Amino acid sequence: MTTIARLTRAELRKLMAARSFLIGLALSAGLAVISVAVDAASAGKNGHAALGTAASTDQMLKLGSVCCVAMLVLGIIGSGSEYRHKTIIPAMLIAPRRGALVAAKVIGIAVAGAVLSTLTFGLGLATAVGELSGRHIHHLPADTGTLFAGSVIAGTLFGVIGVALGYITRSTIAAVVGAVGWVLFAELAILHTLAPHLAKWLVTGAASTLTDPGVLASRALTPATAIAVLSGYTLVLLAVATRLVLRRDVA
Amino acid sequence: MLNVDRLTKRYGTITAVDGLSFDVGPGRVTGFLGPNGAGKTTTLRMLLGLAAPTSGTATINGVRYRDLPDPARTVGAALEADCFHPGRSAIEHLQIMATAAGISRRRPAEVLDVVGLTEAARRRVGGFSLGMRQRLTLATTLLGDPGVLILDEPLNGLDPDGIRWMRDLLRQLAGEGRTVLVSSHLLAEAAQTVDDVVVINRGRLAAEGPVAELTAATSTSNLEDLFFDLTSDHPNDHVREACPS
Repeated sequence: MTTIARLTRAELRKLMAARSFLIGLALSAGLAVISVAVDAASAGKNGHAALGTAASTDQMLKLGSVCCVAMLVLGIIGSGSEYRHKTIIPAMLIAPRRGALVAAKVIGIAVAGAVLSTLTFGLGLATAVGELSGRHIHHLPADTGTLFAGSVIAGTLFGVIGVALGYITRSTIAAVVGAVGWVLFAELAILHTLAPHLAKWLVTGAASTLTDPGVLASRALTPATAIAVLSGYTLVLLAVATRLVLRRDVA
Repeated sequence: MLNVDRLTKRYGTITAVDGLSFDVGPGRVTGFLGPNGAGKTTTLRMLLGLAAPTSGTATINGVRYRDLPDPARTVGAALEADCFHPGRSAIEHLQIMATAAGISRRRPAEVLDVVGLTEAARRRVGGFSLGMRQRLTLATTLLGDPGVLILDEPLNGLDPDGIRWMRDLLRQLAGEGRTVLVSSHLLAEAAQTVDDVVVINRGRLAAEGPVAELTAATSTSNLEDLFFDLTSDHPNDHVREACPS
């Protein structure tokens, strides 16, 4: 077995042993189910679109953002907590070639991201189908498959972004504050306001194309372009993180 | 065999380790001694590839740590007794480490038995005492059954029984032909454990060699007196002659 294969197996064991992943998975899936049930219950009331309309179903299937937030936090915890608990020291003693360590962490979180996003969107979709069929509505929007795949890909990439941020900051709190600050202030408050034509090229813009039925339908970006944009941000952050991990002394 | 050759580490204008050279051979327990801030941990970090030297080299069996083909089976090293995720059990921690190193699934239970933690195997590490963490740290270093052991302050937090147990284990491991390097500031305990010492002060070598030879050459009565003379600003004349560095 190669070094990266061994390290990846160890990363998956860490995830299964960590309460944070199991809690994150339960919260994410639970939130998706509750969100769909609440949307279905409020459909047709207080100005909400009636159940079965495209607008109502779109609202129910906005599940990708849950996957993205959950995986961003889990990715940050995955790498940042290695420094917080100093487990980075025995990890680097076992794998002194640090690039392999980063690669294994990325693969492990990517697998976790795919699993969590698939379960979250899948359970949310199953709930939506149940709510709709209970009222004799048996059709879903044509973009449902694209949204499902987009949410899984976005959730996976956000997990890797979280890993990169955790390695860069070496602090789970600093990474979460930095990520939230970037999204809320830099992207949503400043760039979306000052340069709305650039919004679709930002992290949140590309992620929205993949996870928000309304944005996807507007075709501001094609899904393939959105994946490329989000992958680009992920690779840049990962390159910075890898460079820092390789060069920094471990204190 | 460990070899440190003209090793230097600077942080800005501060020189933590200054042209340090020494060797550590197999079959003996070597104490790595020095006052707080002398550069012991920095030296060990460079030896283990965790920090890059400003200049000089540190090798294990002639190879830099980062270039060792199978580090976990070559070197068992522990720098702190608190490198655990508090939410994992002792056996989970060891299984993760064994998986990463490609070590057999049976080995974690074996090393837990060696360090006397079998009954605590499924307890979360967050609830462990410092002494239990020291034992688990040692278990981690023994996973790969390595020929070289490098331990930073392994006696910290151990009760008298634990210190005696650790001393016997270190001597047994050295008796099996392994290279054992332990840093410690517990001089009385170190005196009963080590065969050789490497003493550093302000990042520089103060003395190295068998304890008996050094105490005889410097006319000091024991390791503690030797240490204080070596690290004093005003060592006695015998020490100046025997250890001019």
